[in-house]
Amino acid sequence: MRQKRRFFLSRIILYSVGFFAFLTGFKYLWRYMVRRVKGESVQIFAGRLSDMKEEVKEIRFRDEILLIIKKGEKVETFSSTCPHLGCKVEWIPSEKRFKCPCHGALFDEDGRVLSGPAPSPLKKIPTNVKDDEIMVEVGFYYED
Amino acid sequence: MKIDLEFLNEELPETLKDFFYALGGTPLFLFFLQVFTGVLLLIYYIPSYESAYESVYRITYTIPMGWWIRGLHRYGATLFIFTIFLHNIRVFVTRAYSSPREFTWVTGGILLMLSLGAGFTGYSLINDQLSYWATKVGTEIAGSLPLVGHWLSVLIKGGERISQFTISRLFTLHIFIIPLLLALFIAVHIFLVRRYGVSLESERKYPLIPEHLYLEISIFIFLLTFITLISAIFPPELGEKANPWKTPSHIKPEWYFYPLYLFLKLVPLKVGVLFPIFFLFIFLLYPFIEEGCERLTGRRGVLLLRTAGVLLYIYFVVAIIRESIY
Repeated sequence: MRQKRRFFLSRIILYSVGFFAFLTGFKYLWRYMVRRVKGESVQIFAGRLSDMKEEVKEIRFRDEILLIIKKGEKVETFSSTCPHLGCKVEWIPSEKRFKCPCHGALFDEDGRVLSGPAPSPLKKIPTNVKDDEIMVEVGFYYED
Repeated sequence: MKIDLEFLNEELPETLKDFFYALGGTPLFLFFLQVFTGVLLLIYYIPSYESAYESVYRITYTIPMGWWIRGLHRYGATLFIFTIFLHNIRVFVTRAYSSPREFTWVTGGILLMLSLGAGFTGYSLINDQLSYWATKVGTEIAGSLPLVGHWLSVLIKGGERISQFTISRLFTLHIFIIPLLLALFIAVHIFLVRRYGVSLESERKYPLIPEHLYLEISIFIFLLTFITLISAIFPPELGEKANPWKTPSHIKPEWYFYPLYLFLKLVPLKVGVLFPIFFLFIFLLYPFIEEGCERLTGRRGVLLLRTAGVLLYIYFVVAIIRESIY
């Protein structure tokens, strides 16, 4: 009986150590495979309002294209990344809407979904206009 | 040491002479062709975000017979998936998955998934517009999974965006991990076929050597000629170099992802991502589900289940034809 108990206890200890060793190994392997993303918000200069000749202006920031849309004196900025599966939407001036070429989602000039499979509106980017200067706030992300 | 060569005297059922019953052997030959041409492509391919496109361009247009090797690899991959798909339809229609061959079906299903994975990672390595945006959409699909999605997407991409790390990871998957798993599951699949036999046994037999060997060699020569001919008539092309700022209009994945592509266009994102995963489990475990259904509801349940299966196959074929035309 005593021997059985000792055997049982030694097995429990062995398996627990093995399990924690596996978890630790997995944690470090995961740390190697998945890089941490750090980020902060930065304000970037996106041009002058008076220079905007067309309704929509594109500016490129790293892999992202920001779509600045002028509505009278008001300015709004949207991310061009389709919230469906990440393709770049395009402004169609004649229809006054954004269209995604991948799966056909349509958005109006306020970024709202008109039709297609997109689950949410286009992402709105905080924008300020001060002294004719358009400033947009973007996330600056980098991997460690 | 004595090597047992008894299997050389083996006799096979005559049904194996029928093309539809011998479809399983075709992907096996194509797998070896993919490995062989893949190794040849590796001589010139550079797995780098900056140079991958240029190296594929060089293989396709500059290096003597490069178009042929790339054509064999490209069309070989298409045919590999096509023949597995045909083989799968034949097995479903003839109910060849019935007991005791359930696990033969499961391993075959895993082989189909792995071949789709090999196709996806393969065309992602070219780094042209189609390849870049297919990778983007593919990783976003993974990213939209509940709970683990974001981590999975970062794991595949090696970060938040498509970069050198993405190419390196897809390259590792394409040339090492997936082929290794394919080889492993092919071995298990063949073992199970030999262990539990084929569904349509025949009284009439014919010898493995030389008759079946001649048949296999003639299939090998036919396929090689056929793929070479296709490569010569439609040489493998290369689109524009990847541009992360511009999604081309009318972008589409390879034909074998058309059913998923069409489904994603028609339904909300969560349904479009979760339903195929659910379907995948049903597909892999189908023989067991059918057996359970037969026990619980009798023939009527099985009939319903098989009708649903046939309708899904029809959807697959219609989606592929529809997206090929429009």
